[in-house]
Amino acid sequence: MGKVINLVKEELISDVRRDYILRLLENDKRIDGRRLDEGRDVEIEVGVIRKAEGSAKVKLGDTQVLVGVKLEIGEPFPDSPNRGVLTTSTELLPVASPVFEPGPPNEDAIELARVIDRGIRSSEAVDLESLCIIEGEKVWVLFIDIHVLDDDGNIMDASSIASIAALYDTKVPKTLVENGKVEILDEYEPLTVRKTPISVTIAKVGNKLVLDPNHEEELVMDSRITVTLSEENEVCSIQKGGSGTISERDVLESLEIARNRFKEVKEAISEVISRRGD
Amino acid sequence: MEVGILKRADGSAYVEIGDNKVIAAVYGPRELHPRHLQRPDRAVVNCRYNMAPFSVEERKRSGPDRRSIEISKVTRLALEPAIFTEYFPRTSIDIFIEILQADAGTRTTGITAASLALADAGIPMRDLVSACAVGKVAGRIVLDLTKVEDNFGEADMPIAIMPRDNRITLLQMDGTMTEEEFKEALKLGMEGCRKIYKEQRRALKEKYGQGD
Amino acid sequence: MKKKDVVSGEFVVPGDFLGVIEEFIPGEGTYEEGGEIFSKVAGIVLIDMQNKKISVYPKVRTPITISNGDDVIGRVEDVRNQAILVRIDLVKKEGREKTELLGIPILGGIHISQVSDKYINDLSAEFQPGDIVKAKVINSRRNPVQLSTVGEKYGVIKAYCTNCRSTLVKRGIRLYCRNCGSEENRKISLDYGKGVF
Repeated sequence: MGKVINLVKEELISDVRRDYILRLLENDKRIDGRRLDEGRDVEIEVGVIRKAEGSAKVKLGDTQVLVGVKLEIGEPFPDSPNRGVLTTSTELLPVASPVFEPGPPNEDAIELARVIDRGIRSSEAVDLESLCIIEGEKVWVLFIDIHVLDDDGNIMDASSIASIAALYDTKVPKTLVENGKVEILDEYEPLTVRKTPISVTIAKVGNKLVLDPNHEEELVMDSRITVTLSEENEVCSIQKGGSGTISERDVLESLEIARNRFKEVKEAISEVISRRGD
Repeated sequence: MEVGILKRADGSAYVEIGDNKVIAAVYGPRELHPRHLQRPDRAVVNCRYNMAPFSVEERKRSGPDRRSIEISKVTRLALEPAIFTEYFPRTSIDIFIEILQADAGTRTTGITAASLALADAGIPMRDLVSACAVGKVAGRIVLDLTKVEDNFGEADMPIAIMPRDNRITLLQMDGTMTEEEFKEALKLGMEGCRKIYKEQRRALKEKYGQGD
Repeated sequence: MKKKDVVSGEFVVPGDFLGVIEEFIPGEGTYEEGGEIFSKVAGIVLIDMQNKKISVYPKVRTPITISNGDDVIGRVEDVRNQAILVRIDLVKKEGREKTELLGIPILGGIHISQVSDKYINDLSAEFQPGDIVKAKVINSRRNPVQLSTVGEKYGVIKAYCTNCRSTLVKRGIRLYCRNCGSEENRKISLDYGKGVF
């Protein structure tokens, strides 16, 4: 529905806007008044979807993402018979942006899901072994579904925060195994989450690095780097994006910015989770 | 109910009725491509109804199925009579409905939300469209079935109206009712729609009716 | 629905009864059906007692149209002998603070006599296809909409080198390409290269 045209329009804006944004950046200023290394406010709400085993809604400035976690009984992969299965998918819903179209996930949606998935997987945030029901036969399959509702920039980080918050919110039904048959009980225990992988995205606009780019900044950025940290000094995934290039110095500087942002966001998540426990 | 909840969309609304949680967004009127789909005398209204994988007990695979395609169609037809499409020739007005959590009656909740999103987008309309569902459970006609009732109910009947003059824009029924029961259901359903209409007005007033 | 009288300043939604045509002339934001007047947008009722006109001032953001006096921004599509054609995407309405994106782009034309207050012989020395221009609407009823770039505020705000397509920078009264070193002429706006709308 009119994708090409919408892109042309966005191009015109970014063409004109780029000069303005660059001029501001020369004086270390941003269009929304933030400092270069300042992220937008994060609002996290968990348990918003009762029908999901875990859920979280995150607002990052005006960007909004909803994540639902569902559990289903399935078979384990042959090479990991005692581990549950984790799958992550993203839908860039057409409600979220004039350039998102209905239809199967495009490369942007798939890249986003895979970056989030890698962060959770490589940090071993979820104890997959705890999701085994009968070794080699029955395990829990954990579906993380990322729903992007409003794209005002940096849907990557909003999705990452919502995903890990939703995992913290997830309750796993207890099961009873009798003669190889699985009965799902009406009792739950919280999913074992061991780490808090959080992605931090930094855009390169001209020769400046800006943390947590908004939509207008994304339109004019040359490239982007997403660093996922699971601890202050543990990087668990990196993704360079955008068609431009970044230098070694940019990467190192980004790591530094990411570390500070990680602390901030992690605190916000912990607060929401502990509040829920009360 | 809340309107204007999304930044990027031209119009948007969030509606929660019972356990249903629905977001609707409107984009347009905007240029329609490919050209051959354009109408020289009016805007084309497109509608997509979509359920989140986590919106139901058993995870739903994403993407359209036969059910959601039908609902998209009847939703579009339920809203179109209210829109002055003739003001915007050669364009499209795109309506997207996302079901975040489903109980019974997602299509009527979707229509109610979409009508608010259209009003929020400033698209000229003859009237709002208000919708609700009536059903028959254990021989009794009731308003707003829940999922449990729906599963054990004998009939389900979604209705949408333009409340100004009670014109019906959507009417479906699934199940069995006697003629007497149907008449009762229709009457109850239209009353239900008028209740929804009051809430819609309140949501719009809350957002736009204050101050200056 | 009960038909009660509305008063100026009241908040109404689409479909609300406003009055009858014997009483009022239906104005902006209203429609008439069977002799009755209704609102077609969510907004505030305005009754003009002198002219017996009832209208609704929208409180929601409405689809934008362009009118005389508006500032517009668009890309040059074609440069002809007597006029250039511009695809207008952005409008800054008089009295509104923000520049808004048009849902449907509108084609505009700038006649050679409306480019500047100086005499112009060759339009291709003032504009090139692909340039982004800022102009004022002088007649919105014509198709294409008639625009003007007379005045120092109006003209090209971003241009590309005709040799290598790099962005040109302003140097004195001309434009210069940092990439290939060539110099070009344009009808330049004061806002050239500033990125402001």
